[in-house]
Amino acid sequence: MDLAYIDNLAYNGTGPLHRANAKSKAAFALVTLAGVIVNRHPLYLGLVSLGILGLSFLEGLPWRRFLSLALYPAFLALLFGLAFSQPEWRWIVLLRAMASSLTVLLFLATTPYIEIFYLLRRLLPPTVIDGLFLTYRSIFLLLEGLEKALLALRLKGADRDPRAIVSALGLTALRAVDMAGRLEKIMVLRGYEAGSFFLTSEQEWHREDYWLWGLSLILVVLTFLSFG
Amino acid sequence: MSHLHVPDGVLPPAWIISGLIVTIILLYFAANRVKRQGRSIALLGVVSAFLLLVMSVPLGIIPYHLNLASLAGILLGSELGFIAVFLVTFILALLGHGGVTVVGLNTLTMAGQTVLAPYLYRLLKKKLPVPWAVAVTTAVGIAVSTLLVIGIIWGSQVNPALFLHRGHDHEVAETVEAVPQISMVRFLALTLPVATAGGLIESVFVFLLALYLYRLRPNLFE
Repeated sequence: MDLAYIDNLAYNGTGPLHRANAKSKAAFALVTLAGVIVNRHPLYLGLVSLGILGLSFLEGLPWRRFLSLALYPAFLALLFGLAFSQPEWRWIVLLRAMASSLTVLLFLATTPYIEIFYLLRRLLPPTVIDGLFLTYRSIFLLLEGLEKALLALRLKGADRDPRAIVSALGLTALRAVDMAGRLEKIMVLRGYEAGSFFLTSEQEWHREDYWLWGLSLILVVLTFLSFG
Repeated sequence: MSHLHVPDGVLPPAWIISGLIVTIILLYFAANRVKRQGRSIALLGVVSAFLLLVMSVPLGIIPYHLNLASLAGILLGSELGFIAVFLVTFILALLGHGGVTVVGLNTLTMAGQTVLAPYLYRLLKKKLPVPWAVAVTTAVGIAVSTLLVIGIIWGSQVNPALFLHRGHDHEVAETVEAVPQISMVRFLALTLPVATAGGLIESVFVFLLALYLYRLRPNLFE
């Protein structure tokens, strides 16, 4: 599953962006996304996509895999793009979807999920932040069980039988419910309160953070200039 | 998609920001109710994870995947279901699956299924066997979700300049030219067949899944 792969990249990467703190990377991603959303120039959008792929390459990330991951939202955007009356907007919508998808993938592949969720604590209720953490953690636990069930089906030659696949998913759903019951008891035992999962300190600033903020400023200027 | 993910770059910024604000307000409302009711966020986490596992598997080259949002609403209730939909939409957006700027709007459209599901299911359960009640709830939920997306796309085509610049026709003409126009006929022709096929496939799948779960754990559907 792509999530496991990207999660591994975020935790085990050693590039410059991995050293920058989550706030700087989030600011860079937001500025890039804002520029992509408001800009109508295919050249600007294309250059942003190439720039993000270039950063991925410098970071030592699998830029080809990122590109293939970005193709799915681009294909989906094409569905909407084909509905536009003005033909040039089809390209704009496609390029916007690609550029924003690549930006988000770069952010996710260089920032551990705990840090991303921690950033959101000022915006979202503690219950939702805890829900994000529990969901992310549970995905990997359930994925392991589902993969084993699907492997068992493949060994029996039943992996194309829809009823067998439904049973495998049903089994995973029941495991999920049982897991929730055990987790609930553990949380009560440990005196869980909303917002208690995250007890981390503010991250230090490195040289890479200043580079990112500088790059963000350049993007803001370029966005304004492209409107002129 | 058995519901439609709006990608980044299609909708005007005003719609994007409004969607995010409304979603955040509703999240606080739902979280508050969940806290007062003492509901389990452990169940929220694992059900959301299960939805993610199911949703991250596209079926072939068609832009379709199962979503189980209605089933989540039946199992979790409206408030937890709404939060689950946001969690799933957000994490999927981080993977480039559905726009990240339109997380708010995509949450609201998908939550149409989840919020409606518990009430509709309770009504249908009186007349139909449980797996059928779940399947019909899913089909209706997907239709509602699709209508919400169509409504948002249609509403975003209304150009506010037409209301703000009365008496200045040349300004209106310039603004209208600059705003991209979506042909609703073309949009419906492209998306309705996919949404209908997706809805039917999802309903059949959910029926089979509910049959399996009800046989082993009937108390899940009480």
